[in-house]
Amino acid sequence: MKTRDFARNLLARNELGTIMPMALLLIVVGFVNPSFFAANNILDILRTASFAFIIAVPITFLMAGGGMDLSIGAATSLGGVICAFALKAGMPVAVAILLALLGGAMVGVFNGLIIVKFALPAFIATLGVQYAINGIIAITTKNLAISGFSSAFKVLGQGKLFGAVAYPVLYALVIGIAGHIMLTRTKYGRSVLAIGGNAETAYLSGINVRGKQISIYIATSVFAALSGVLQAARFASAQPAAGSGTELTIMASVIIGGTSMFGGTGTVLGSALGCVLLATITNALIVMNVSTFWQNLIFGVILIAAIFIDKYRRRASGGE
Amino acid sequence: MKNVRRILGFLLSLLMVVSLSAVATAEGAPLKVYAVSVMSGGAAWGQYEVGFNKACEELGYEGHYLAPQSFNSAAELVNLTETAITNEADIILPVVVDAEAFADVLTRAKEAGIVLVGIQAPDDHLDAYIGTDPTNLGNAIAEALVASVGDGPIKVATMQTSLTAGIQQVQCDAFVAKLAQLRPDAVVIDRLECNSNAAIAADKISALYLANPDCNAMISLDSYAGLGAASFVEEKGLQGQFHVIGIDDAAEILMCIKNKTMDCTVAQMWYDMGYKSVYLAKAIHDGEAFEYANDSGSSIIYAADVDAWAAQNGITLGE
Repeated sequence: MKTRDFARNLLARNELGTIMPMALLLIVVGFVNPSFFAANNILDILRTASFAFIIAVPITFLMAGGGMDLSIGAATSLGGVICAFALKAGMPVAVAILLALLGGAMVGVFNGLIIVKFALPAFIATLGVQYAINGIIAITTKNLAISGFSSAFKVLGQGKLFGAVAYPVLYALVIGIAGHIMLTRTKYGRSVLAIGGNAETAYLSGINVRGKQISIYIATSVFAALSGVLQAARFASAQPAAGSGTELTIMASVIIGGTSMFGGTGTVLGSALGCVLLATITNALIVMNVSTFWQNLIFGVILIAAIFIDKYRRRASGGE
Repeated sequence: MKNVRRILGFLLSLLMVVSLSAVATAEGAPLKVYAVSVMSGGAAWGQYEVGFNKACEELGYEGHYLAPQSFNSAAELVNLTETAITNEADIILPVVVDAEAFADVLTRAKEAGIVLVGIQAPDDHLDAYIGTDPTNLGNAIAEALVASVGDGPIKVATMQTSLTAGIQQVQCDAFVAKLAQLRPDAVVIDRLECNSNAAIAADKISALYLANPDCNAMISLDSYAGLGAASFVEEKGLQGQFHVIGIDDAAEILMCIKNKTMDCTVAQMWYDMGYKSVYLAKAIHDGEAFEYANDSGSSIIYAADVDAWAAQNGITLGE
């Protein structure tokens, strides 16, 4: 009886939906090419995942609270571009970064107002914002990358702790821990989950639903802008399309990590594992020398398999 | 009766004046030229647009530069070509990214008597085309790679925007064929794609290098692919051991060459392409002699050439 309860509790963990396909993938890649497990490669995968995870943390809050945001890719590009313009104008690095985050915050305020105050559907509203931001970027940059930054800025994206761990991994770790504590141990986090579960009930129980929702949209865009700044630092150039196409990948990572598309549940740890899983799949397929012509097919199959495993796990744990 | 005659006379005079002014407007109206490009701005197409506008200005033509919202989207490009026809274009400069998709709209443009000069890609419906000859570009990249590596072994990967980018496929095939001719012992390990994202490019080449530690080169058919590979070389400290051949001449690419994380870049002559395309269309429109295929050429830039090239082309290099 105890064993069965233990198994049921284990299967009830949202993160298991990511860990199981990841374990299967690691076994396969370990057989095909053990060099996958080289420390350098693991650190490379973590760095790749870290840029996405910095945005996935607030997206976990957003989706657990019943929202969605298709403008995060554009906000990422915008953050890098604003920071680049400020640096080129001779501003100090700290001021340039603050301006970029402020730009992100403005996007978040706009998203929050049109979705929460004016009740526009989040999907189409943030899609419109995505187009508008990309348009602003195209007008201001003429779709040209901006380069020529100081070493003081580049080190933020290129620097490594002890010559091994890239700084973005550390930023992601700090943001992840803070996000995890906030979601699980604070009134704010519990309010977000309550809003995602049932906004009306949350409102009736005294939660400031609109305020919380707007604050999550602001945080999402701010962290997207931060990711854009770090990408600009890593490549010593702010690319107008740096975040293009990342919105669906990041939301997919969060969903695979156990956050419900309809709100009410979600964990930052699950999102972290989701980001690492997607980065691992891309890396592993190349390390296994899978031809590029086959990679998209296999990537899609693994994603679908991950969702199936998660569905089976939920059923086995009595969650469905 | 007298009044009726007067009215008829007045109406006839009015008709003549209107007809004459209409003829005068048609004869004096500038030719309408539509460039149906794959994107607006950017290191490459931005220069093409500048060249196109300059030629239109010199010739007194009415130039319109159209670009889709999604890069390289065949459907959107066909729609934009339709728009140009609807707006009574005299000349259209399309980028035929998909011959099948363009067949119908180009046929109708021909039937309407519109001069068609293709950019970057040939097609049977076109009067002529101008661009970097994809075969010549592939050959130039192969020659640049062989010159960079020297007598050592060559195990190279290629990286392009997407494996569905038809012109890049032709360039890549030409590269592979020329490399086999120049260095029969060379091995092409894999063809990668990066979706014009330097982060994806860096991650993919890093993983490929892990799986194939003897891989010692990557050639780029997308400028962000080169940027990502140069970042990989810098992060792994592989300067001089891993050879990167870039494409185009954006400031950040030239900086990579100066920093020795990229061996050289093959710059396409985008300004010339835009400028000469309008003059080529003019020659066809005016019934002058012209060639069907026109290669706008390419140039290989090494570290020693960077400063001069940047100064000559108004490119500002950073730190």
